[in-house]
Amino acid sequence: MVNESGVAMPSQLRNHKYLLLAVATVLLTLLMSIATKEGSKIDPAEGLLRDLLAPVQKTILSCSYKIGSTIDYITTIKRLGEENAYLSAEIARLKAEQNLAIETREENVRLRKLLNLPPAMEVFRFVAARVVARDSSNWYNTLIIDQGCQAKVEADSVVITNDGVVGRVQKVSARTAEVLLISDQRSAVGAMGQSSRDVGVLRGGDEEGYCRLVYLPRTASVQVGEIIITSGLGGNFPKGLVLGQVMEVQAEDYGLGKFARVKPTVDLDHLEEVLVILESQS
Amino acid sequence: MSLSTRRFFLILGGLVAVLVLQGTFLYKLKLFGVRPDFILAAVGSIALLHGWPRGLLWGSVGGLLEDLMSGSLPGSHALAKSIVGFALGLLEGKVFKENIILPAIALFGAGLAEGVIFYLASGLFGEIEWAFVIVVRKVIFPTAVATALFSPAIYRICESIYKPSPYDRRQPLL
Repeated sequence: MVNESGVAMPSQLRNHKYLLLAVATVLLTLLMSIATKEGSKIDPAEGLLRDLLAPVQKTILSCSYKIGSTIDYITTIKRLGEENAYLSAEIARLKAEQNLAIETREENVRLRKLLNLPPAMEVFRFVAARVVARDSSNWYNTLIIDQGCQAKVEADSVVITNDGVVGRVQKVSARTAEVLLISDQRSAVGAMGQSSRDVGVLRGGDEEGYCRLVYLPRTASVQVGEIIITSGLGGNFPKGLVLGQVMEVQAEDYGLGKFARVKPTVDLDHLEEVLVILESQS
Repeated sequence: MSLSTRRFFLILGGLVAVLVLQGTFLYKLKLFGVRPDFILAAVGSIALLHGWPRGLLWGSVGGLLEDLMSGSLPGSHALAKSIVGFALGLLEGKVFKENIILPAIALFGAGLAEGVIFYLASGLFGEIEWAFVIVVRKVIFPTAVATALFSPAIYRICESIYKPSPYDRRQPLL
């Protein structure tokens, strides 16, 4: 009797098949138990495998992006003229808005000096990273980026794009990091409405890749279309980063509170590059 | 290098390649909103064709690789896939090798069982907070259907891996 690698399997062992299954089950449960205690630490085998495969994954993913973008370009070439006209009008509108924003910012600085308040916005130091792989299972929403410990990325570092928050780093190896997306059912971010200032917790795992803003009081005035930002409560995420937009507001079961369905502003399914916040200074 | 060792590395390399492709090039390949579980289809096919020792072995190896390369708790996929591989291996000889419908049905059942075991194992360590009904509707059932649809092709590939080459005089070892 021989097993897959050519090593003889004693017939006594083959007769104790349920014992073998029980041993495998116990060993794997022990592994899960140890991994849970380790938390954000990555085990050496996992780190080594990810570091070794990262260049291969990066190459395959960049090839598939190139193929995809070429196909997209060919199929959308007719639409580009219309889009160009629309974008020209949009630039003019945004320039006007920018002038207004500059005026408001100057006024804000003057008033803060007058009241002796510290600056409201935090200043961040970033490192840019490329997405090299995603979780292939249907259970979790994570992705792997090509920056790790060597680039000073740490567990719980916040990951963003110019559109808003992507998630936070969960595990780090020397050259890669695993990012838990805000749409993952394990994710929880302190959040609030940008205009209503209602505070809650943004949880992932809702239908169609949406998130849920939960623990809103019954009197919350959050509205459909409102932008949801990080509240800064809980420590990991700095205040004021854009998370998503409210699509629906509903009463919780038994009417004790409210929850809002939030669509992330970042297109989490089509991420190619991200920024990792290394440190923030007020 | 013996035939068994060569086959071992061929299957190991195949599983790693499948995981790399599913995490990159084939990421958007979805049926009913979910990705088919090619690793389960491969492990299940090997188990149906060659019995519980290989089902248990490849279930553990394939599951561990999946755990290491994805964001899941190390050991969770390995536990689910090794139990399912073992159970499917007990059906060895009871399924006609020429029939591809029966393996597809067996792998649909295996997909459901694997999903439930994974949910229980990960839930036990606080990794999954979804309610069971939601998980069955959103993940377990559609994944089992998608995996079963792809399983005949993967079953045939696994069958060919174990087929002795006409130039190889040695007989299969198991």
